[in-house]
Amino acid sequence: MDTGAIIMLLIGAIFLWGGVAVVVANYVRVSRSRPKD
Amino acid sequence: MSDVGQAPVRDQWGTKLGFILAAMGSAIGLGNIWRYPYVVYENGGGAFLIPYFVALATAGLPILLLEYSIGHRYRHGAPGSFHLISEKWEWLGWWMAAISFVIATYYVVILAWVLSYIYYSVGEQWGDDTAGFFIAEYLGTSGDGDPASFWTVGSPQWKVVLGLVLCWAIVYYILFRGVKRGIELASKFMMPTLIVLLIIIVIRAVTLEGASDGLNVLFTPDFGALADWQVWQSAYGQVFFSLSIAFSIMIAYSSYLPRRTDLSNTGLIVGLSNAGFEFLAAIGVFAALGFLALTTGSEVTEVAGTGGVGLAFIVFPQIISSLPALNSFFGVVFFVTLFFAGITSMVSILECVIAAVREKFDLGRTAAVNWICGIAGVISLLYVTEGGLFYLDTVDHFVNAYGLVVAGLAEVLLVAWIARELTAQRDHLNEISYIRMGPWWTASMKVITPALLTFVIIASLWDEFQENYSGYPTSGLLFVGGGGVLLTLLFAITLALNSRVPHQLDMVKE
Repeated sequence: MDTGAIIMLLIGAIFLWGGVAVVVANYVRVSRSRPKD
Repeated sequence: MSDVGQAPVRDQWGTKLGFILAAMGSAIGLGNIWRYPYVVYENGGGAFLIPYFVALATAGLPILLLEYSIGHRYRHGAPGSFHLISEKWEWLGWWMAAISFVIATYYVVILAWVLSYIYYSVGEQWGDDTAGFFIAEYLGTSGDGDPASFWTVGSPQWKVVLGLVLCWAIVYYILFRGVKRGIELASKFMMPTLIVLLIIIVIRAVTLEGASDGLNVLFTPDFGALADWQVWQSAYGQVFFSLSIAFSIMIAYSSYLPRRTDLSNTGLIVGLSNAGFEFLAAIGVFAALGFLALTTGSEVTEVAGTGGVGLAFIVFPQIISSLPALNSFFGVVFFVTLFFAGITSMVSILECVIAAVREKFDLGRTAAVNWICGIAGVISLLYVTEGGLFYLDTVDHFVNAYGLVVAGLAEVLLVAWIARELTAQRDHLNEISYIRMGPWWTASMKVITPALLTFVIIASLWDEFQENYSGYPTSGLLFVGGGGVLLTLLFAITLALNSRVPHQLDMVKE
């Protein structure tokens, strides 16, 4: 693959899949720290 | 089971995970697989990611969170929620519901095609001429797809009707079972399976010879394209359609949530998962197109086509037939992936209509599901006729370009400028959420989103007058497309004028 294409693929992967990982981890952390309804 | 004699009750999600998966199922649909890769490819390749991220941050996620907040705060479907914001605006909720209803009538037909193709994948029954098989043999399209045959309605195609009946049976059963035992249960099974199936497809695609050529075409950035306003228009359009905004789905879905629910984080999970899914699908699609280009001795740009229906039912069968091994297996995997992506969206599209009708007319779930599925089922027969492909394409184009976007703009204007509810909605989100909405959210809702949606509408109208969409006759576009949108609006106003007030159904835990 071309370098430009690889860089854009990595940027997309880091922002999107990394973003999902961050918000899911945050959700799990906050859910555990909150008292049950 | 009949609910005659029982007081209509409001459904509720069983778990927060169930809601997240159902909301993801709603957002992740066929467009993520067959539309997004082409939007990237046609709008600057890898460089498109920049306007896409900007659109996601300034319009997609903010509107998604606004809809979550509206539904959760007022605990009604869209008509009821808008009635509570301002009595004069109940029609907007009905318009969104009517648009969703119209979309459901043809979306189910595409699912019927997908279902048929799961069967045709076994032994690659489409043969060598995949276009001829789909257009002429399977759909029986009048004039073999020539737009001049637009007005030749013809008779229903029984091969498609068979798939349609099966699809309606599945959709009906899920909706009949309710929010917790139907939609949530189906989403808990289908969404993880969908992601696993997509990963299988992507691994197969990127390990094929020629895959890197396809990925080069998809991701090689053309930063010069960022100066083109159409690229930004495409980014905002993609984000808007992809997140199922203005369908009123998220308003209905969030109204089924318990009082104490972290809306912001949940919304971000759904929005980003949807974006991550379509990014992964784009990799799979273009890697496979690179393989097809290599096997046919063509350029990737030549075999790519224009995406959409053509990609799924003409190009992908070609790719499946060209695979070195396990052709039928990968055919079934691909079409089951499409089916799961589509069916979870389909039930959400109808659920928001069912919620609205139940609240207005005080109906039990069974009665509402019977009415809505029954009427939609009859209308969907129009799209399985010989001219069905033309009508489906036209209605889809007009309802998306003018129905959804105008309704989305009206929604934002109502909340931000007319009812001046923005602060109340932001306070509601912040009160129960860990991630707080700040000035960027207010600015996005007040200025950026309305300005950009207005721009998208004007640009779409400009394109409309340049040439007839898909070469269809003007009479067909006006009557079927324009008439369809107008009909949803008239229907919405008529329902809003009805003196019954949408009321909150009693919330009970199942």
